[in-house]
Amino acid sequence: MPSTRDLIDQARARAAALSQVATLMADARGSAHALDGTVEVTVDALGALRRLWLAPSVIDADSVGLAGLILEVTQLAMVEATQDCYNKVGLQLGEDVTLLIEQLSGQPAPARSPDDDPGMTVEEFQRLRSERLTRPTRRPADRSSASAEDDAYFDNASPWSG
Amino acid sequence: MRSVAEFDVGLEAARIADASARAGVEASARFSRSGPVVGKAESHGVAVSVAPGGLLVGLAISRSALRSGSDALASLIMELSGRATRRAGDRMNEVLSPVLDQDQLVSLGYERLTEDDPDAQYS
Repeated sequence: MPSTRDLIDQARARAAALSQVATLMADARGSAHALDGTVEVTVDALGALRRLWLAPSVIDADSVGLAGLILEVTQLAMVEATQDCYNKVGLQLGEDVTLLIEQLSGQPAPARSPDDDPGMTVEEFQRLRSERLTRPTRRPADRSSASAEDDAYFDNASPWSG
Repeated sequence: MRSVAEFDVGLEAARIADASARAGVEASARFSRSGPVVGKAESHGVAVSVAPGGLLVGLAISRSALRSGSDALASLIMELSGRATRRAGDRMNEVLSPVLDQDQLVSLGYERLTEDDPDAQYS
């Protein structure tokens, strides 16, 4: 059972944690790029442009399409910046303060979105790894001449191949 | 059993939510009169619109602006979005000044532009 002093210390720590949120947000950034590599955008936590890079080839692009692409990439960067805010807050101040901010802002962390890419699960990684390791011995007939040449290259290049 | 920390967080959330709800009602009424706040800036064939805070929400690029080269175009968009952001902040400050303290508005990035500020001159 925590003592009264513990409770006061806890409440003070929580108030101090909340006061750090603005500082953490000031450092948050999000970046995104167009799939064709012609536009790169970095924004801060409020969405303001911090970096915009355009490939030299954009001068030949359709100006309306380019403007739309910059807006689209900026929106993606904004989602990243929002998640970066929550990551910083979560890392420094803990999950309960992060939840508190999500409640107050009414904006859940993008990573909680059902359509957010969850990345590779441990099970998926292990399954792919085991497939990769067993494939050459299980399916020798599938090896193309190109991969055989690749193997030959590595065999020749290997300092241990003698 | 609920932990003390959870209870504390809930109480704090309720307290802040209550204060912000009161400010929110007043702010909503003011925004309904003023319309959505957007900052705009335009120069050399490029026009940008930003939301308060600076998120780019509108962009128009003319054919002639493309001819200045990719680096010059990117710099111009950055410059205009900065100017538009300050204008949106000025407008937000004006709309919300009866609701929030100046210190709070400035900490949100909503600062008044003085008349002699070059960004205050609409193009």
